[in-house]
Amino acid sequence: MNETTPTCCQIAIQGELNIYTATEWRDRLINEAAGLHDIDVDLGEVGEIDCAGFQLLLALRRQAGNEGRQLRITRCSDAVRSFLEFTHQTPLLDPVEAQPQSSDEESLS
Amino acid sequence: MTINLDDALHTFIAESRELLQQMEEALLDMESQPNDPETINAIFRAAHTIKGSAGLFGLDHIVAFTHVAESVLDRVRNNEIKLDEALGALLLKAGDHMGQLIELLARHETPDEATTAAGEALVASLETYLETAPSHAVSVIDEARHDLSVASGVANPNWHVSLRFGPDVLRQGMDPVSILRYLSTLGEITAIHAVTDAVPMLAEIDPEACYLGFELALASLAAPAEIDGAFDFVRDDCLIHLIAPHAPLADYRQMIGALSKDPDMRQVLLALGSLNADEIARLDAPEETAETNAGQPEAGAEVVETTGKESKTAETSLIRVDAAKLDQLINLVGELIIAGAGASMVARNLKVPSLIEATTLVSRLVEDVRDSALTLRMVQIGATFNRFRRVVRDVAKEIGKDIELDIRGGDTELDKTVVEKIGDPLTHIVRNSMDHGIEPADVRLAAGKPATGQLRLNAFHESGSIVIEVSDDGGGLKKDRILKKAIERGLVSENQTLSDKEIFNLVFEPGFSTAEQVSKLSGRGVGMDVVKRNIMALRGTVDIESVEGVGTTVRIRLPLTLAIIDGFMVGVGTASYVLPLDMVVECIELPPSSSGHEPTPNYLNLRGGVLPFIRLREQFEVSAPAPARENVVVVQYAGQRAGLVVDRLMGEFQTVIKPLGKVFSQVRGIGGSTILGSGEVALILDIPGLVKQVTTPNQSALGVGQEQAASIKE
Repeated sequence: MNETTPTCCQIAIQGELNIYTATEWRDRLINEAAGLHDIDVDLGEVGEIDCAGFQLLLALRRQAGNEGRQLRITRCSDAVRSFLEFTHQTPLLDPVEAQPQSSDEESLS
Repeated sequence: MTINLDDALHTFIAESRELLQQMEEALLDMESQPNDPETINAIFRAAHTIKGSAGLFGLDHIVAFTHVAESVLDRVRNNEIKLDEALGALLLKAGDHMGQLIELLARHETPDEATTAAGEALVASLETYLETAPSHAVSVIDEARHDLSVASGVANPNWHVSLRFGPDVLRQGMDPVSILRYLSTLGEITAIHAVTDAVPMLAEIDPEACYLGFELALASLAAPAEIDGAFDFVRDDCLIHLIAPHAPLADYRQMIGALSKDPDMRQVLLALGSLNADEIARLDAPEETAETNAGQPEAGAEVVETTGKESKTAETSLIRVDAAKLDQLINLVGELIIAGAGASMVARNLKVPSLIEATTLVSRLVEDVRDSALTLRMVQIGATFNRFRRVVRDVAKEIGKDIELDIRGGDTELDKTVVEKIGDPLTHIVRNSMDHGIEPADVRLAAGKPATGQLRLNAFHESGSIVIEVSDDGGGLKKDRILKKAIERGLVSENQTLSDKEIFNLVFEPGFSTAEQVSKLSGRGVGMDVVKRNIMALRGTVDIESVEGVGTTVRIRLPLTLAIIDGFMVGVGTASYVLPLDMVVECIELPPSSSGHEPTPNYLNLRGGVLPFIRLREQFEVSAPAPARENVVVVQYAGQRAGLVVDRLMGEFQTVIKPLGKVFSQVRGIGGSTILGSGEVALILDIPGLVKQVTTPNQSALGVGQEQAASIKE
């Protein structure tokens, strides 16, 4: 979180990313994603994810895309991967290009 | 294929039998009210559920066969083909074949060649109703799933599920993905599309609101109700569209209309494989088939929802219980009754009022327990009767007569074992009535009767027994012919005078047939004697009433239950006897004139009528001397009265029938035994046997008097 390289903002999410922690993570994400750097999200330590968490990632991604920043998911835990595979959302793991147009998210599916 | 008959498979077999039964009934209903959408749906659901469950057990041969039948039904359901008589008959046969496969499964057997061939023949005929008949009958299952295209229904063999979750779903503790996971246990989610457009930017998101939606394609053999059930918890605040495989295109059009906020639905449907490019194009051409579905515009999607609820309520009101457990319960209740009777007896002997009071209360409760335990075993005869709709229909077709079946008293209840065992004799009687009773149409018209023959099944309760009547309005039994035949066969001598009843009952003699021509169904003279034997084995009786030219009624009388009776206890010498209470009409004192010096005339004057009687002392050779006063218990069975002369009347007594051993099966006049509270054994009298014994030899002499006696009483 604070060891930001000049060009990249690192965000690590650990533990639960679900309805119980969604509000908390949203506030932290808003804080940590502030700025104009590209974002690297580390999901390697996420133990649990549900639709609330998934939405949050989508929102973060949308925000980044809108601000013209690149978002990359650097690591991804088994829990997250199985969730995304189940919902056929693995393209989310691909880095989002800095295209201000947000409608390209349709290509995910 | 060896299958482990585990519990689940047992349930599957039992359920399939029921479903097939329902399907058959529905198919028969269809003949009277063709193309009633509810009935068609019932048939379809039955087939569909069997297929789905069979799939779970990997019973591919059942799945393959049922699938074809189901596809045809689906087309009927979508109003693409009409369920006419020919198709109805074919579907009935298909149902039979499914039943056969299920029965084979129950016996751990694999279908033999004949069965397989029959199945293939049926599949071939069924496929003529499908426009694109798959090339290989045996491998229908896979091909059909992919290729079967139904004219106005879409090609998609999968369910299309469209979900838009309400904002509060997450707050209510439901995770949309967990619903999807549940769906994936019902089948395979072949494609999924997450509708994420509604998700706002991070700064604006309410992290606890749900913004998601899913479109998915589900390949599932599960019942519509089951799939629908997945959404029970979210139904209220979500937008759910559930479109069945091969549903009409109109369903999709309707859904797209409802989801107008999602402009990309067409691409999504295309991507998921729910619609093909051609169908997408047709979506926008409103002129097409919309009219064909006008009759039932909500065919696909909506029906699913309503049926889901119906079947659920039906399920909760019934519990499947192992018959052995029930038997054990009834057995225990039987012991309880004996023990209770013992306690009451002790209480009465001790003459302690409070104890007597307590035991009386216990007895009353035991009686209630007994009654409700027995009703557990009671089933309505309606199900058995309804089976005859099929028999009547088939036989009528076979012999080319037009026969209408009239079922009454279907809600009359009787013991399950009795119901099971009465089916065969009843079938025989019904067939006989149709074949020999009801005349061909031309004969009927000539006799001034309507061309359509009437066959009636009726059931009702009468004094502790159930009466089942099979009546027809046919030609009736020809007395002179029966008599002639009987004389020919040496069953009666030429100058014997017989009552009508006796003559009619001659048809129950082995090897007796009066039919002028032997048909495939009956007339060979085997049968009626077997019918009578079967009914007697159930402690029942059968007799015939017939008026020549007007019709015949065969009346079967059966005991309500085989286990427990309300008895009336009498004593002769030191022995006690029990007779079924509901056969006792009254008790009188034996007039001293006939009990004194001239014991020969075994009848007495009962209010002007002749009452034949039997002395139990003589019947059972009791050696103890008769007391000064003897009593007569007047009993009635099957409209005939007789008296039983006994020493003592000991009152009502609830009792459990213990069958007598085989050694005693030939003893006349005794139907069973029971154990008294004191541990003594009492014999249960076989009243029908005794009444018969006392009335038969003197029938011609006493017939008039008896009738008088009966009419006086009534």
